[in-house]
Amino acid sequence: MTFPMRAVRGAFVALSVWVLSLVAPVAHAQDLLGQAEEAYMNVDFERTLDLARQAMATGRLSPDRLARVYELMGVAYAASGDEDASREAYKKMLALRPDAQVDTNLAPRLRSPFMEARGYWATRSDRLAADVVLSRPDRGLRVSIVDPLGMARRIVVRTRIAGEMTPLDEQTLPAESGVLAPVAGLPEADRIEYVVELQDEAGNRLVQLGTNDTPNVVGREPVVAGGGGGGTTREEGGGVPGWVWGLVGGVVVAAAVGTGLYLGLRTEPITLRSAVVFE
Amino acid sequence: MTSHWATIRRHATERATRACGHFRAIGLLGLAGLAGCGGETVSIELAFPSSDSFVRSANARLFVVDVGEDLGACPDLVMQSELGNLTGDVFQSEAVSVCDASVGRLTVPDVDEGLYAFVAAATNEAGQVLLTGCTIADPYVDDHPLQIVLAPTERYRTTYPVGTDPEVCSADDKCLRGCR
Repeated sequence: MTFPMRAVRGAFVALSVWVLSLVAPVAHAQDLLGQAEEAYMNVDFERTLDLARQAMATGRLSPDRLARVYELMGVAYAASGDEDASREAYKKMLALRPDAQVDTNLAPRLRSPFMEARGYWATRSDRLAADVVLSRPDRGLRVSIVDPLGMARRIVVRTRIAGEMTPLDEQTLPAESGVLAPVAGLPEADRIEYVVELQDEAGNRLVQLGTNDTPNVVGREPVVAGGGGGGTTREEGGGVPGWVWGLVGGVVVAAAVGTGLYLGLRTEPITLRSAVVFE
Repeated sequence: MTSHWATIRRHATERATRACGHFRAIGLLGLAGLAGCGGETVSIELAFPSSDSFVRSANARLFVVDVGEDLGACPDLVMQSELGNLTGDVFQSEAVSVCDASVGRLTVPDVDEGLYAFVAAATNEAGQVLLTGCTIADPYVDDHPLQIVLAPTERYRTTYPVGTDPEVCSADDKCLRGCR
C-alpha cells in the first residue's frame, strides 16, 4: 500500500512542476511588464525601457500586452531623445493595435513620434494579419500572412480533426505567406480545429487565431446519411459555384463605386486641429 | 454659429477642392472618396515666441472670421481679440489649456471653402490676454499646416518685462507634470 501512495505523490509533484514550468515564464513576463508600468508611472524612463525590453525578451506576451510594451518603449525612447526608435516602436504598437492611442497628457515632444507613426499607417492599406483557408487537395491548412513591418519570424500552427479528444498537433513554419500546414486526416476529415499564432523573434504573439481552449474551426458540415453534402467554410475549391462569387463581387464593387462617387463628388468640409510650435 | 457657416457656404460653389479635384474630374475613381477625400483634418499651428511664453500661458482660444476679400483684416481683429470684443460673423472655440491645444484638442469643425482670418489668443489663468496672433488663409487652397504666429501683448510685456528670469519649468514639464 505504501508504494502506490508514494507513486501518486511523486506523480502529483511531477505534475505540479510541469504546470509551474508552463505558468512561470508567463507570470514572469507579466511581472516585468507590471514593473515597467510602475517605472513609467514614476517617470523613470530609463528603467521603463529596460524592463520593457526584458518583458519582450521573455517571449510570452499576448498581442495586447506586446502592444503595451511597444507603447512604453515608444514613450521611453522619445523621452531619451531617440525619436527614430520611438517612432519605430509606435509603428509596431499600431501594427498590433491599429486604434491605439497614447496618453493624451504626454508632452508634445513625446507624442510627436506617435503622430508620425500614425501617419505612416494612414498612408498604407495593408495591416498585420493572418488568414487560414482549408485546402483539401493539398491536405492541409494554407496560412496567408500580411506583415508590412517584417515583425513575424515564425507561424505556429496547432491542428486536430474536430471532435477528436486528442491534443492539438503543433508545427512551426516559416513566416511566409501562403505556407501550407499539412494536417493528418485530410482530405477525408470534415472539419479541422486550429490555432494559428504569428510569432516574433522572441516568441511573442503578434496575431492569434483561436486558442488551445477554443480553437477556430474550418471545413464543411458533416455529411449526414440520407442528406445532401454540407456547405463549406473557408475552403479552397469549395462547393460554392464561381458565378455566385462573381455576382457577389459585382454587387460589392457596384456599391463601392456608387458610394465612392457620392463621396467624391460632394464637397467635404475640413476640420482644423491645433498644434503648438516654438519659434 | 449655424448662421455663420450658412453664410460662409456661399463661397463653396465655385472653387473645387484641391484634394478631391482630380477624383471629381475622373469621376469613375470615386472609390478614392472612400480612401480619404472626405473629412480632411488640417493642422493649425500656434507658434509661441518661446517655451517660456508657452509655460506662462494657461489657455488658448481660436477665432475664425469670414473676411470676404479683406486681406488686411488682421490688425483690427487682433486688437478686438485682445480687448475681448471680437464680434460679428465669428466662430469662437472653447478656451482649452495650451497643453491640450498642443495635442490637437483645439479644433474648428467643418470649415468650408473661402478666405478666413484665423485669430488665436493665449491667456493666463486670470484670463488676461498674453499673446495674440492672426493669419488669413483659405485652408482648402493654402499650404498646410496653417500657422498663427503669436506675439506678446502689452499685458505680457508689463508682466514679464525684458530681464525677467526664465521659467524653471519647461514646456514638457508643464504638460507632463503640471508644474505650473
